Amino acid sequence: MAQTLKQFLEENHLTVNDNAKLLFEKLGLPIEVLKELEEKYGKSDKMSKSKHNTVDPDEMIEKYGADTVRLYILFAAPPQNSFDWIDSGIEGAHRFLKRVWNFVNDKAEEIKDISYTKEDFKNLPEEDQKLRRKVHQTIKKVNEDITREYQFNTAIAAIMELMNELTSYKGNNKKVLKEAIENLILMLSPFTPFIADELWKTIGKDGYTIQQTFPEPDEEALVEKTKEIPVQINGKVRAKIVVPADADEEAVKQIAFENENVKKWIDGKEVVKVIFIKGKILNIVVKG
Amino acid sequence: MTREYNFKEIEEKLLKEWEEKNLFKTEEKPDKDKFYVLEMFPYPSGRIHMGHVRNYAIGDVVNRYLRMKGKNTLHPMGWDAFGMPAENAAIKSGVHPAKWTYENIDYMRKELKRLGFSYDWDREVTTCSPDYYKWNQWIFLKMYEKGIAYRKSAVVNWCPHDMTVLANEQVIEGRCWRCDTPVVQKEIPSWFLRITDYAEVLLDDLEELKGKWPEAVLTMQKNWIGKSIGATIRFPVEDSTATIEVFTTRPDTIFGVTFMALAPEHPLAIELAKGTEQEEEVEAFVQKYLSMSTRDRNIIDEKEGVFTGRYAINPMTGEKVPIWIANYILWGYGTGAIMAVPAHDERDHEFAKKYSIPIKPVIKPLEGEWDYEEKAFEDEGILINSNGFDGLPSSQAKEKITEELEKKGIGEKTINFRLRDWNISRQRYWGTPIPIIYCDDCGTVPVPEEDLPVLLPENVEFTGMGNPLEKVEEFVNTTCPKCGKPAKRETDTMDTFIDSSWYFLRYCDPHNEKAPFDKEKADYWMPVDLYIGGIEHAVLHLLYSRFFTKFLKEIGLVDVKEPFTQLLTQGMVLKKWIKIEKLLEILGVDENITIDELKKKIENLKEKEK
Repeated sequence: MAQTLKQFLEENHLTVNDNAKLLFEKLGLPIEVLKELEEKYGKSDKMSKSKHNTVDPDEMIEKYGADTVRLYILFAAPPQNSFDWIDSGIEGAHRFLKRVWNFVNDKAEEIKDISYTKEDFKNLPEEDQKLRRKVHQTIKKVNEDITREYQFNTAIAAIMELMNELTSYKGNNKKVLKEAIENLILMLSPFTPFIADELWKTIGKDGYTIQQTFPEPDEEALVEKTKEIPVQINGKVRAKIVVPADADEEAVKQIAFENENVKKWIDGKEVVKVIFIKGKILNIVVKG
Repeated sequence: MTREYNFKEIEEKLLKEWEEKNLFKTEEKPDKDKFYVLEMFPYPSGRIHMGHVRNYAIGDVVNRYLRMKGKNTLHPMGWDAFGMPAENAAIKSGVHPAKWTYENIDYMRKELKRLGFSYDWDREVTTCSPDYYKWNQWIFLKMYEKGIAYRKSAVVNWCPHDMTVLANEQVIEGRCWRCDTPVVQKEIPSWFLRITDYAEVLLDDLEELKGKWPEAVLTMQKNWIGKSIGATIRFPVEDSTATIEVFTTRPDTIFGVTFMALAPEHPLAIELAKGTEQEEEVEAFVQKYLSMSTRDRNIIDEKEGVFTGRYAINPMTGEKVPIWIANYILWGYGTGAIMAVPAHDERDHEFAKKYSIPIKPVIKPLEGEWDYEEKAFEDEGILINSNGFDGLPSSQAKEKITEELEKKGIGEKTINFRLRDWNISRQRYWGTPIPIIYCDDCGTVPVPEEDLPVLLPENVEFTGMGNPLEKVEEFVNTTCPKCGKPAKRETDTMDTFIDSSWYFLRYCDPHNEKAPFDKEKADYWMPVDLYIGGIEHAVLHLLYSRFFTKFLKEIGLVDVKEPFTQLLTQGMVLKKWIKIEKLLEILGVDENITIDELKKKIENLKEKEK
């Protein structure tokens, strides 16, 4: 007779109240199936040895490093809240740090010997301004989130967003890039001090990040000098134009009517109505 | 080519550099803004768990961030190193508690360092070290001198087989955790700290913490201290000189008393029943409850009682009311006796219903009707059926009735606290010896300061029977510091909560050999600006630390009156899991499935996922 589960459990001193993980291990079943089931049907409980639902810090450090463990724990929830440990979560944290590592290492050579002053950041093209604005918005947010109720999770999310902006930066201003990378590293320092210190050295800096001053936002960089707004013609977005942030309807109209795409849709037609919402949208209604 | 992210190599290299450079060293810099960030120190249980990692990672971010912001920060770590697990390990496997503890500390220190936490390890504090517990003893002596530490008998859980006192956690379903013998309650002499002297100030100063401590913690402390304003009233017992003293917060309901209820431990419980028909039944009932541990008693929610056969006289009405013994009356809170008003107290109502005792309404709602047979009306309202007090609102009636009681000399206005004095005696080895000597001629004699520390002897046998210290002759036998004649040492050790009640002050000056800490240094660093830990410490540790700080301020050791400005209680790290039972339910099978079929079903699931 084939052995039943009941007999197997008895033989192995297990009961139906034990963690299914023990059964999977004993039978050599695919653990990834169990993980799926846990996420779908599992019961959240405080980690405890008796429930066999613990995650060992030493193992995690060995597998991902201390920075990743720290980052995941701090990113998972505001400190006051409980959260479920999820394997895909710590993997995500690890991937992020790898991205940071690769990006900074890639750029290290070209920015190593670059130095900059505030003067260098006057009259920058929009692409550079945009990155600087993001950098300083992030600095502002990170400072605020840490100071107010220790909301580390949202601070880290902001740093991650900055990283996205950095990787999609199309400009070629090495000073702007260097400023951005420096600040990225310094903001990461309290959360992931090892990688921060190593990258600090990689971009040619001396000492350790804890000895540096935490970034403060450059209020000027926060001010949006130009703005990209959509142009709608008869209810459909036909173009995006860059205009001075404080431009009035007349100025914006002028820029819009010179835009090739806009021309294509209004040439030979009668403009019946123009609605402009400052900083947001230009609406053109045409007839004919 | 891009360098690979070799985190292990990077992290281990930097750990070495940080340590060589002493990067996290802290010094007092009076010209600089300070910030003291502290995480609750761990018990060295063997390994750190994710909860620790979270707790300390939060503190570490704060420390690193504020350092980079130019603050002079203090961020120390240490070990709450005395306690039962070490002693239990000794009983189980023979390893000495000191060896077990220090080995665990060494391992856990490595783990914490590996995580990159920016502690100033030169300030490490280990509470089981004589350098530290000497000052526990010193503070105890100061408390003894001021009358804050005193000795009286206390009820403890006792295992008659192992001849040992058991902590509440060691009583499992009324039985000894080791030998399964039913536990009994026993009175033994114990040392107490008079924290009740500080009840009022501990309560008042919670105001200062509002908005900076979680509301839940403040509420728990407030409830734990449990201040209530009411009246003490004495009910004479019919045909006796005895009186039953009760404390009530609702003197306005006195006209509705229909029975009296005593705790099983109340000295009058058995005495009153003597010679009545009820005597045997009362004795059996009392016996049953006396042999239960306090914890087990708390679990019971079915109300149960027995009539004593005797009556008390309501001093306001002259009415006769029966006296009962009831399991829901706790000895140690109030007077251990109550005037029961079933119409206006839900517990009394439940009891009265069960034993068919009359329910007499004396308060009506401000608006509407109330069915008093159905449920007690517990709110305040307007007095009825109360002679001259009818029509008064409860708040006024409380005062008027209390005045009347005072006039008649049968009661008075009373402020009552739920908070009890702190029993710090533990009949265990792995703790701080209480520095007291008993001399046949001189009585209780404190160990002179210059003889501190009273060291824990190392050659001790751990059998699990009794207090190991009692059997160490060279420890127990000493000479009286006053008269020089042979005398005995106290063998109780201190509750380990003492260790954690002031360790945050020791971090300010951890190597001081002349005093627990230097006042100037403590005044520079204190208070702890941000304290981070689990909410499970909401009452005991956080209340005791506040008490110690207030005492130490009183004797001029430190300036602050509250130790922790801001408290952050971090959430838990949870993990989802499923029971085998749930797995079967998901698969739609039962335990009779064969192993082969089960394997197939799971493999199918795997295919489906793909």
